[in-house]
Amino acid sequence: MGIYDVTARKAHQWTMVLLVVLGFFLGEPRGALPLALAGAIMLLGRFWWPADLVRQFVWRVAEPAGWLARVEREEDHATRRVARVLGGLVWLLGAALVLTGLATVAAWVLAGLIAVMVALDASVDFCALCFVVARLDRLGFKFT
Amino acid sequence: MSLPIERVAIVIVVALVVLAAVVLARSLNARRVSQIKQTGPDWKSLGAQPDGRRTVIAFSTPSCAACHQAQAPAIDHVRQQLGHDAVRLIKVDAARQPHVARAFGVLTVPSTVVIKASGNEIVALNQGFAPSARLAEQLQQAG
Repeated sequence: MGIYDVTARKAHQWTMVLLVVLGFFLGEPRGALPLALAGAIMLLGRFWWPADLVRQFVWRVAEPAGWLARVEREEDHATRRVARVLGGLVWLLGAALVLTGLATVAAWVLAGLIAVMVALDASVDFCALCFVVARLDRLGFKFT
Repeated sequence: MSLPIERVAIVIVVALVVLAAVVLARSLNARRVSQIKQTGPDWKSLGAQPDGRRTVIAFSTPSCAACHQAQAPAIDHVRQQLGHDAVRLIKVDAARQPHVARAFGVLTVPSTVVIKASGNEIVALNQGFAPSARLAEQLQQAG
Protein backbone atom coordinates (compact mmCIF):
# COMPACT_ATOMS: atom_id res chain seq x y z
CA MET A 1 0.00 0.00 0.00
CA GLY A 2 1.07 3.56 -0.53
CA ILE A 3 -0.20 7.00 -1.52
CA TYR A 4 -1.08 7.19 -5.21
CA ASP A 5 -2.52 9.71 -7.64
CA VAL A 6 -6.06 8.41 -8.23
CA THR A 7 -6.71 11.02 -10.96
CA ALA A 8 -3.80 9.71 -13.04
CA ARG A 9 -4.92 6.10 -12.56
CA LYS A 10 -8.48 6.86 -13.62
CA ALA A 11 -7.37 8.94 -16.63
CA HIS A 12 -5.10 6.08 -17.71
CA GLN A 13 -7.84 3.49 -17.24
CA TRP A 14 -10.56 5.44 -19.09
CA THR A 15 -8.16 6.10 -21.97
CA MET A 16 -7.40 2.37 -22.21
CA VAL A 17 -11.13 1.55 -22.24
CA LEU A 18 -11.73 4.15 -24.96
CA LEU A 19 -8.90 2.69 -27.06
CA VAL A 20 -10.41 -0.79 -26.81
CA VAL A 21 -13.88 0.53 -27.71
CA LEU A 22 -12.37 2.47 -30.64
CA GLY A 23 -10.65 -0.70 -31.82
CA PHE A 24 -13.93 -2.60 -31.59
CA PHE A 25 -15.70 0.08 -33.65
CA LEU A 26 -12.96 0.02 -36.30
CA GLY A 27 -13.33 -3.75 -36.68
CA GLU A 28 -10.89 -6.12 -38.32
CA PRO A 29 -8.06 -5.65 -39.09
CA ARG A 30 -7.80 -1.89 -38.35
CA GLY A 31 -9.08 -2.28 -34.80
CA ALA A 32 -5.88 -4.15 -33.93
CA LEU A 33 -3.97 -0.86 -33.83
CA PRO A 34 -5.75 0.86 -30.90
CA LEU A 35 -6.02 -2.49 -29.12
CA ALA A 36 -2.29 -3.09 -29.50
CA LEU A 37 -1.57 0.49 -28.39
CA ALA A 38 -3.65 -0.05 -25.23
CA GLY A 39 -1.91 -3.37 -24.58
CA ALA A 40 1.53 -1.84 -25.12
CA ILE A 41 0.85 1.10 -22.79
CA MET A 42 -0.46 -1.29 -20.14
CA LEU A 43 2.41 -3.76 -20.42
CA LEU A 44 5.41 -1.55 -21.24
CA GLY A 45 4.25 1.28 -18.97
CA ARG A 46 4.29 -1.13 -16.04
CA PHE A 47 8.03 -1.76 -16.44
CA TRP A 48 9.28 1.42 -18.21
CA TRP A 49 7.71 4.64 -16.92
CA PRO A 50 8.15 6.78 -20.10
CA ALA A 51 5.80 4.32 -21.85
CA ASP A 52 3.07 5.05 -19.30
CA LEU A 53 1.85 7.75 -21.70
CA VAL A 54 -1.43 8.78 -20.12
CA ARG A 55 -0.02 9.11 -16.60
CA GLN A 56 2.92 11.10 -17.99
CA PHE A 57 0.47 13.41 -19.77
CA VAL A 58 -1.61 13.82 -16.61
CA TRP A 59 1.43 14.54 -14.42
CA ARG A 60 3.29 16.77 -16.88
CA VAL A 61 0.43 18.60 -18.59
CA ALA A 62 -3.12 18.06 -17.34
CA GLU A 63 -2.56 18.47 -13.60
CA PRO A 64 -0.06 21.39 -13.80
CA ALA A 65 -2.41 23.18 -16.22
CA GLY A 66 -5.32 22.67 -13.85
CA TRP A 67 -7.39 20.61 -16.32
CA LEU A 68 -7.49 17.75 -13.83
CA ALA A 69 -7.32 17.94 -10.04
CA ARG A 70 -4.82 15.65 -8.35
CA VAL A 71 -6.44 13.34 -5.80
CA GLU A 72 -4.16 11.20 -3.62
CA ARG A 73 -5.28 8.13 -1.73
CA GLU A 74 -3.86 4.96 -0.22
CA GLU A 75 -4.45 2.09 -2.62
CA ASP A 76 -3.36 -1.48 -3.26
CA HIS A 77 -1.21 -0.99 -6.34
CA ALA A 78 0.75 -4.25 -5.98
CA THR A 79 -2.25 -6.31 -7.09
CA ARG A 80 -3.26 -3.67 -9.64
CA ARG A 81 0.20 -3.95 -11.25
CA VAL A 82 -0.30 -7.69 -11.69
CA ALA A 83 -3.75 -6.99 -13.17
CA ARG A 84 -2.17 -4.44 -15.49
CA VAL A 85 0.37 -6.95 -16.82
CA LEU A 86 -2.33 -9.59 -17.34
CA GLY A 87 -4.65 -7.08 -19.05
CA GLY A 88 -1.85 -5.80 -21.29
CA LEU A 89 -0.94 -9.33 -22.34
CA VAL A 90 -4.55 -10.20 -23.17
CA TRP A 91 -4.99 -7.02 -25.22
CA LEU A 92 -1.76 -7.63 -27.15
CA LEU A 93 -2.80 -11.22 -27.83
CA GLY A 94 -6.23 -9.96 -28.85
CA ALA A 95 -4.65 -7.42 -31.21
CA ALA A 96 -2.62 -10.20 -32.85
CA LEU A 97 -5.77 -12.27 -33.33
CA VAL A 98 -7.73 -9.31 -34.73
CA LEU A 99 -4.87 -8.45 -37.09
CA THR A 100 -4.57 -11.98 -38.41
CA GLY A 101 -8.33 -12.56 -38.52
CA LEU A 102 -8.05 -15.63 -36.29
CA ALA A 103 -10.71 -16.13 -33.59
CA THR A 104 -11.72 -12.49 -33.72
CA VAL A 105 -14.91 -13.06 -31.69
CA ALA A 106 -12.91 -14.66 -28.86
CA ALA A 107 -10.37 -11.84 -29.10
CA TRP A 108 -13.05 -9.15 -28.70
CA VAL A 109 -14.82 -11.03 -25.91
CA LEU A 110 -11.56 -11.35 -23.93
CA ALA A 111 -10.55 -7.76 -24.66
CA GLY A 112 -14.05 -6.63 -23.66
CA LEU A 113 -13.93 -8.53 -20.35
CA ILE A 114 -10.65 -6.84 -19.43
CA ALA A 115 -12.07 -3.47 -20.53
CA VAL A 116 -15.12 -4.00 -18.27
CA MET A 117 -12.83 -4.77 -15.30
CA VAL A 118 -10.74 -1.67 -16.02
CA ALA A 119 -13.89 0.45 -16.34
CA LEU A 120 -15.17 -0.89 -12.99
CA ASP A 121 -11.92 0.15 -11.29
CA ALA A 122 -11.98 3.54 -13.02
CA SER A 123 -15.61 4.25 -12.14
CA VAL A 124 -16.30 2.66 -8.73
CA ASP A 125 -12.75 1.74 -7.58
CA PHE A 126 -13.57 -1.96 -7.79
CA CYS A 127 -10.31 -3.81 -8.43
CA ALA A 128 -11.54 -7.23 -9.64
CA LEU A 129 -8.20 -8.99 -9.12
CA CYS A 130 -7.83 -7.45 -5.62
CA PHE A 131 -11.32 -8.81 -4.82
CA VAL A 132 -10.47 -12.31 -6.12
CA VAL A 133 -7.15 -12.31 -4.22
CA ALA A 134 -8.90 -11.24 -1.00
CA ARG A 135 -11.57 -13.94 -1.41
CA LEU A 136 -8.94 -16.65 -2.10
CA ASP A 137 -6.92 -15.31 0.83
CA ARG A 138 -9.96 -15.74 3.09
CA LEU A 139 -10.34 -19.31 1.81
CA GLY A 140 -6.78 -20.03 2.91
CA PHE A 141 -4.83 -19.70 -0.34
CA LYS A 142 -1.45 -18.06 0.24
CA PHE A 143 0.01 -15.46 -2.10
CA THR A 144 2.95 -14.19 -0.06
CA MET B 1 -16.42 6.73 -41.83
CA SER B 2 -19.79 5.51 -40.57
CA LEU B 3 -20.10 3.83 -37.17
CA PRO B 4 -20.99 0.12 -37.30
CA ILE B 5 -24.45 0.12 -35.70
CA GLU B 6 -24.23 -3.48 -34.41
CA ARG B 7 -20.97 -2.80 -32.60
CA VAL B 8 -22.23 0.44 -31.10
CA ALA B 9 -25.30 -1.46 -29.88
CA ILE B 10 -23.10 -4.18 -28.32
CA VAL B 11 -21.03 -1.58 -26.44
CA ILE B 12 -24.17 0.20 -25.20
CA VAL B 13 -25.76 -3.09 -24.05
CA VAL B 14 -22.56 -4.20 -22.25
CA ALA B 15 -22.26 -0.78 -20.57
CA LEU B 16 -25.92 -0.92 -19.43
CA VAL B 17 -25.56 -4.49 -18.09
CA VAL B 18 -22.42 -3.55 -16.14
CA LEU B 19 -24.10 -0.41 -14.79
CA ALA B 20 -27.16 -2.41 -13.69
CA ALA B 21 -24.92 -5.02 -12.01
CA VAL B 22 -23.01 -2.31 -10.12
CA VAL B 23 -26.22 -0.61 -8.94
CA LEU B 24 -27.71 -3.98 -7.88
CA ALA B 25 -24.54 -5.08 -6.04
CA ARG B 26 -24.30 -1.73 -4.23
CA SER B 27 -27.94 -1.72 -3.17
CA LEU B 28 -27.76 -5.36 -1.96
CA ASN B 29 -24.62 -4.60 0.02
CA ALA B 30 -26.16 -1.43 1.49
CA ARG B 31 -29.23 -3.43 2.54
CA ARG B 32 -27.07 -6.13 4.12
CA VAL B 33 -24.99 -3.58 6.02
CA SER B 34 -28.15 -1.79 7.16
CA GLN B 35 -29.58 -5.12 8.45
CA ILE B 36 -26.36 -5.90 10.32
CA LYS B 37 -26.33 -2.39 11.81
CA GLN B 38 -29.97 -2.77 12.91
CA THR B 39 -29.43 -6.13 14.60
CA GLY B 40 -26.28 -4.85 16.34
CA PRO B 41 -22.91 -6.50 16.84
CA ASP B 42 -22.84 -10.29 17.09
CA TRP B 43 -20.72 -10.58 20.25
CA LYS B 44 -21.51 -14.28 20.51
CA SER B 45 -19.75 -15.07 17.23
CA LEU B 46 -16.78 -12.98 18.41
CA GLY B 47 -16.57 -14.92 21.64
CA ALA B 48 -16.29 -11.64 23.57
CA GLN B 49 -18.43 -9.24 25.58
CA PRO B 50 -18.67 -5.44 25.55
CA ASP B 51 -16.47 -3.86 28.22
CA GLY B 52 -17.68 -0.25 28.09
CA ARG B 53 -15.03 0.90 25.61
CA ARG B 54 -15.36 1.87 21.98
CA THR B 55 -14.33 -1.15 19.94
CA VAL B 56 -12.62 -1.66 16.60
CA ILE B 57 -12.84 -5.12 15.08
CA ALA B 58 -10.07 -5.58 12.53
CA PHE B 59 -10.57 -8.36 9.99
CA SER B 60 -7.45 -9.64 8.25
CA THR B 61 -5.79 -12.80 6.99
CA PRO B 62 -2.17 -13.91 7.50
CA SER B 63 -1.17 -13.26 3.88
CA CYS B 64 -3.02 -9.93 3.47
CA ALA B 65 -0.18 -7.44 2.99
CA ALA B 66 -2.49 -4.42 3.09
CA CYS B 67 -3.85 -5.56 6.47
CA HIS B 68 -0.44 -5.71 8.12
CA GLN B 69 1.40 -2.94 6.26
CA ALA B 70 -1.37 -0.32 6.14
CA GLN B 71 -4.48 -1.14 8.18
CA ALA B 72 -2.74 -2.26 11.38
CA PRO B 73 -0.50 0.88 11.54
CA ALA B 74 -3.56 3.08 10.82
CA ILE B 75 -5.46 1.51 13.74
CA ASP B 76 -2.41 1.80 15.96
CA HIS B 77 -2.08 5.48 15.05
CA VAL B 78 -5.71 6.18 16.02
CA ARG B 79 -5.35 4.25 19.27
CA GLN B 80 -2.27 6.32 20.10
CA GLN B 81 -4.25 9.51 19.40
CA LEU B 82 -7.29 8.51 21.46
CA GLY B 83 -5.51 6.47 24.09
CA HIS B 84 -4.81 2.75 23.93
CA ASP B 85 -7.01 2.08 26.94
CA ALA B 86 -9.91 4.08 25.51
CA VAL B 87 -10.25 2.02 22.34
CA ARG B 88 -10.54 -1.73 22.40
CA LEU B 89 -9.10 -3.64 19.48
CA ILE B 90 -10.33 -7.11 18.55
CA LYS B 91 -8.40 -8.83 15.77
CA VAL B 92 -10.17 -11.44 13.67
CA ASP B 93 -8.45 -13.78 11.22
CA ALA B 94 -11.14 -14.03 8.53
CA ALA B 95 -9.52 -17.18 7.10
CA ARG B 96 -9.70 -19.04 10.41
CA GLN B 97 -12.98 -17.49 11.58
CA PRO B 98 -15.10 -17.09 8.43
CA HIS B 99 -18.31 -17.33 10.51
CA VAL B 100 -17.35 -14.08 12.29
CA ALA B 101 -16.67 -12.37 8.96
CA ARG B 102 -20.08 -13.53 7.72
CA ALA B 103 -21.81 -12.37 10.91
CA PHE B 104 -20.45 -8.84 10.34
CA GLY B 105 -21.07 -8.81 6.57
CA VAL B 106 -17.37 -8.59 5.80
CA LEU B 107 -16.67 -9.19 2.10
CA THR B 108 -12.97 -8.43 1.87
CA VAL B 109 -9.83 -7.84 3.94
CA PRO B 110 -8.81 -5.53 5.40
CA SER B 111 -12.19 -4.62 6.89
CA THR B 112 -12.93 -2.79 10.11
CA VAL B 113 -16.05 -2.52 12.24
CA VAL B 114 -16.45 0.32 14.74
CA ILE B 115 -18.77 -0.36 17.70
CA LYS B 116 -20.16 2.12 20.24
CA ALA B 117 -18.95 2.05 23.83
CA SER B 118 -22.36 0.68 24.87
CA GLY B 119 -21.59 -2.35 22.71
CA ASN B 120 -25.02 -2.50 21.14
CA GLU B 121 -24.58 -0.39 18.03
CA ILE B 122 -22.35 -0.60 14.97
CA VAL B 123 -21.19 2.88 13.94
CA ALA B 124 -19.41 1.86 10.74
CA LEU B 125 -18.42 -1.08 8.60
CA ASN B 126 -15.43 -0.28 6.38
CA GLN B 127 -14.94 -2.75 3.54
CA GLY B 128 -11.35 -2.34 2.40
CA PHE B 129 -8.63 -0.12 3.84
CA ALA B 130 -9.86 2.59 6.22
CA PRO B 131 -7.44 5.53 6.66
CA SER B 132 -6.68 6.64 10.22
CA ALA B 133 -8.56 9.94 9.75
CA ARG B 134 -11.77 8.10 8.86
CA LEU B 135 -11.37 5.67 11.76
CA ALA B 136 -10.76 8.57 14.16
CA GLU B 137 -13.94 10.28 12.97
CA GLN B 138 -15.96 7.07 13.36
CA LEU B 139 -14.51 6.47 16.83
CA GLN B 140 -15.49 10.01 17.84
CA GLN B 141 -19.07 9.13 16.86
CA ALA B 142 -18.77 5.91 18.87
CA GLY B 143 -17.79 7.71 22.07
